[in-house]
Amino acid sequence: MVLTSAAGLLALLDEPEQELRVYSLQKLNLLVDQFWAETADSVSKIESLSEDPGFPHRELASLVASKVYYHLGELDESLSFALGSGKLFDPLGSGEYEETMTARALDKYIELRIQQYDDASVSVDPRLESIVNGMFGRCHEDGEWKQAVGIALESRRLDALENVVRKSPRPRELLGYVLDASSTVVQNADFRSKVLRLLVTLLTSLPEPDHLATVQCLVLLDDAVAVADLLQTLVHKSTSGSPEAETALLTALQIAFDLEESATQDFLGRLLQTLPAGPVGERAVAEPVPAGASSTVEAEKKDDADAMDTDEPKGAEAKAIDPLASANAEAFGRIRGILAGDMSIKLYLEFLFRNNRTDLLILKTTKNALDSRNSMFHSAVTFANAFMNAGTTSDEFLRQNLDWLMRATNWSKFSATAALGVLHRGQLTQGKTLLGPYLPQPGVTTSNYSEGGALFALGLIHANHGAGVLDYLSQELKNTPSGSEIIQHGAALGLGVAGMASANDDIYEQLKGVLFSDSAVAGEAAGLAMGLVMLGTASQKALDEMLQYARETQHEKIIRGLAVGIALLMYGKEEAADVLIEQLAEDKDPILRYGGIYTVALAYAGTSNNKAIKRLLHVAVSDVNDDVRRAAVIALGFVLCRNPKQVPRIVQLLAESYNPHVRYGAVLALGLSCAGTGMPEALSLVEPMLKDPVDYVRQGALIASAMILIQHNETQTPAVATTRKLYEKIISDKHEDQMAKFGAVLGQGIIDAGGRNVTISLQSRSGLLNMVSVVGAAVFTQFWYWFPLTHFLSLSFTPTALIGLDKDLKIPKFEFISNAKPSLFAYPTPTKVPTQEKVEKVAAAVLSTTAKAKARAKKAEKDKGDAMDTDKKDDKMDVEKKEGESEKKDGEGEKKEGDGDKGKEDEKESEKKKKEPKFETLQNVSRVVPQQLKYVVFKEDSRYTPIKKTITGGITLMTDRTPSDTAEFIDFSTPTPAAPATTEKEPDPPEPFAYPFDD
Amino acid sequence: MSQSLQTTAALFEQLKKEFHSPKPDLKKCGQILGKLKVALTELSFLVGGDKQPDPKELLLAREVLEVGAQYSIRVQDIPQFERYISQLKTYYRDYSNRLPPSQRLYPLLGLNLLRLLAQNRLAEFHAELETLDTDVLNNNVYIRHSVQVEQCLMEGSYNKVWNSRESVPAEEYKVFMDILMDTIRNEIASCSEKAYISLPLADAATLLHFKRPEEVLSFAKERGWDVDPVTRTLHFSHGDVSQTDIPRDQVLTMMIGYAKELERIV
Repeated sequence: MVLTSAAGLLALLDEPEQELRVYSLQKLNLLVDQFWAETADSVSKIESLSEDPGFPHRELASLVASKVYYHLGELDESLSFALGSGKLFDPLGSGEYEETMTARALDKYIELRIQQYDDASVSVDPRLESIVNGMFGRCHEDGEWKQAVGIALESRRLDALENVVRKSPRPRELLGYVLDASSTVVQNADFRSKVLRLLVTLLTSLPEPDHLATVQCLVLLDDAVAVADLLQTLVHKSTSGSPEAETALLTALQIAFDLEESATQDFLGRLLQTLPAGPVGERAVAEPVPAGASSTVEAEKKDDADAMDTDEPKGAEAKAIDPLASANAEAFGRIRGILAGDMSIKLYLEFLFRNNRTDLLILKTTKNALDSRNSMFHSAVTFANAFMNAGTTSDEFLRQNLDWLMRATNWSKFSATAALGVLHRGQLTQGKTLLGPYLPQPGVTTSNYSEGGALFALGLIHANHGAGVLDYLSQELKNTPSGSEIIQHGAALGLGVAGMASANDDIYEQLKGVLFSDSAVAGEAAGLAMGLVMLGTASQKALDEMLQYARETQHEKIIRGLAVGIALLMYGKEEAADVLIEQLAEDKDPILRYGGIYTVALAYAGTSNNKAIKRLLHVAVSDVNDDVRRAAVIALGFVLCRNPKQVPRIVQLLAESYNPHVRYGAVLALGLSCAGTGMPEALSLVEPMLKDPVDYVRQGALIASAMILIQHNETQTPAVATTRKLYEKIISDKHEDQMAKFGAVLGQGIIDAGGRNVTISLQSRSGLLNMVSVVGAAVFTQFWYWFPLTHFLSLSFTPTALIGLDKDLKIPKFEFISNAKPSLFAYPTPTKVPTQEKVEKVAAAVLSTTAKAKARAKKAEKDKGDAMDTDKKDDKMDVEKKEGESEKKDGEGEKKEGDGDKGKEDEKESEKKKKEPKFETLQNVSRVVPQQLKYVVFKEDSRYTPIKKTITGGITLMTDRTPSDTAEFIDFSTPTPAAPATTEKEPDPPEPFAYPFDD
Repeated sequence: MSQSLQTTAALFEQLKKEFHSPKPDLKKCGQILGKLKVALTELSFLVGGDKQPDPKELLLAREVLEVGAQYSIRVQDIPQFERYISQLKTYYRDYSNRLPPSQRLYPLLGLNLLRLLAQNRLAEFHAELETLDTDVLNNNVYIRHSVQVEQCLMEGSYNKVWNSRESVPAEEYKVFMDILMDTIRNEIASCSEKAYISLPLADAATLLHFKRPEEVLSFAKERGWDVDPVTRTLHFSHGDVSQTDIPRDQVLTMMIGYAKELERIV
């Protein structure tokens, strides 16, 4: 029986008898989905019933009214009636109406809670709250824990969040999710810190506390004292003789490495102040812990962690001979060493040196194809060389091409000298020796350019670990006569890079002095350096001074330096930077607006904040100045750098803009945010711009494609082959514009950066924002105006290594498995074809067939290359065997295994065409690219297993299952200029050699 | 037959007896009707629900409603009549294939049509007509009457409408015809306002179908017409005709302003 009209029922509503009206409502409630249109005409009657205090079934009337409004699309109205219908409304119902209403209720609740958060006078309807609580209940029942976390975070309900985590069966995983969400979903800084506080409590209250995640939270909270407490607790546990002693120590060390990677210098400084000192000569400060009473002392310590320094001496004398205390002290010494950064820099340096796969032939071909008398080409090759060999200490190319190097003039000489800093990045101890010949020396006057470049290079070597050279650099800056602005420029940049985020007031004041001399070249560097030194401090004083001077000075260069400097000040400040952003965005001077955009980029870097994105998109299409628009699009890349998947969608339209500056910005944004991902969506957006009619857009596209494809090979991403070929073609093409050529050379440098062992990543392995990387990339984008700043990109290079350490911080030999075809993540094949031949082939120009033939040739070549690869591996293994002096049981076994492998590989070579192995065995200290990480496993019977639950690459502490067995270790082989050459196989150490600059 | 159906049926018998008696106690009828309707909600009233409704129940409900409709005409409660009709429609349409055709169907529908005419709700009137068959429209006396009245109204042949009052198919129709007369009179009056500047009182009486001039006077008072007692003429006050003028100056200034701005933008 189907009704065609509800008019009869509706007529009942007007009846004087109450029973009839109730009857009508009851029936309507069932039929309203069908007859809502008719019912809508009478909704006012239903409403008045729902408001009539004399009517006993008001809730029913409310429910019917709510359903009518729901069908009419008036969701707010509908919600308020649904709330009025009390128990009759079932928020957990599965109907479309119930689901929509519940979603609406949730939205409304979140909206109100956010308002309430800022303004306590806003009240939240308790009925709404009960609906939301019902939702939590259902999430619990269904096991949708992540959903519950999402609701709790969005509605800012800490109590609910805690509840969810406590009830969930796998709190550890969930907490990881919360941590991740807290930095991506939660946009309010204050609430985020509360969430993080809660996380810390929850993480430590787990049956197996997750210390690594705890530390991540504490770093985000900027709470050095708590981190120190945690480290001390772990160290005491490690010496207390408990069964988890070793794990505790390893965890503490791992924390130290993680901290070193993700925390600011300022944070580490505070942490070091709070931590007890190491053993050497500082025994007096060692921790006064009586054996067996460690727990009570810990409790005490938590209370007065700050006052601890004063407490220490009293117990120190008594415990001076306590072996426990000395063990503690030793552990602290080790942690301090790690935190100072020396250890990880040394390890990465070793990795880069050991695995260097730079293909110098590419560089040579490029160099020969470009006229070195053109300073732009000269600089380009310099940068490409610097990037390719970044951190590998290999200056072979420079040695082989001294005459080419001689042609560098003026600023290209500055860049060439500074490139040494990129090559030797991380050689903290030898930095000054290496650069000795170029550094300014009293009495000797060489070129100002090389001296300035050398100072910048020194800064780059010590980037973010400037403790050793800051005094020297500031001394140099002081000594430099005010006339030689080039040296000042270099010294200021060097100070900025080395003293990054150190918030050192003396250096700041000194740089300010240089700035006030109002010399364009020096002032630009000084403005930038001031920002770098005070990075992320948002110091009001610095802000006022810099902004005021930017308004006073006549030099655009200085304004630009200051504008970027101001942006740097606001790094990571999010909402706190809004006032400044607002102020700069309104400025009449386009350069300051440009600075405002970079402030958005850095203050909101990685947050994906909607407000920031909206502002940037608006500026990108509305500002009158091209530079500002370009910057706004680039800034999108920074803001979205942790959500690379979103970027292609957002910049898609901008990439088709009529304005070349906007297009340029779009490619760079893609390049920076999607770096190393090889994402096809990003590549397909960049590709058309490789043929853009405007030269600098092509430049940007060439650079961006290199960034996206960094560390990818043909097997993984086929686009690599065409891109590499395109670089060659553009470089050798006589009619190509030099801007595009510059981009192609830079692209070659980036795609093979760091001996093919580094990637560009704006976030650290643990998913936090990598400050040095972000800053490096941001300053790099200024190369549009000033080529020497190109070197800053080297700060964004992150070695993709897996380095396992044992508890003594030695590198044990062990193997692990990458469960993927070796060719998928193999190094690209080195180029072998002589250039002449290639030229001939190009001249032949039989396109389609050539392509096929080439493809075939390539295939053959690849096979050969692979063969060579395996050869290399064997070679190395041999070397290692030679090195390993004590060949005991383990060594023997390994040797056999190695031999076996060799045999197997020989076999495979023959049948390679048919089948490739499904996995490969890798040694400790090997390249593991980010995409490869998920394939990495440790053998069941492996002696060493990582302490971290998930393998994130980088430096990982390993548990030794059979500590009694003798272990083999890998020795450091990084050459030092002071020591004589170690092996004949390795390239000569970079002994100081004089640049053949004649002036 | 269920218990409630029986009691309801008994109650209905009582109602019928009372209602069809020569001198019905209308008050009592109203009370019984009220009780009946409440009793009907116990049965499957209007909405079937899950199970197939019992045809007897449906028939009973329909009859109750039909009597109710007649009763409401008798007490001249138009809104109530409207409600009964809209409830009855469920039975006339949705349940028509399950019930024997009702004798009162067309008289009631015709009445309803007339009611709509009387209330000047022409759109609904025509919507209602659409639901009826053409031969019913042309041949059924109850329906045809209403249709003809409407046609005359539209043509403006108010006289014919006037006369059709005498040829009503049923007594109940007169209630609505009276209301309709008032509607027509008002219609004529508003036409006259536009058509004449002044009108002698006697002519006005003929025009408005008044029998005595006094009635004209009271009507004129209602409409706010001026009556000149000396000449015995009605004067219609006309609204200000010049008000419909286009505000030329204003529009001109605006357009020129726009043009200027446009030029400036380009």
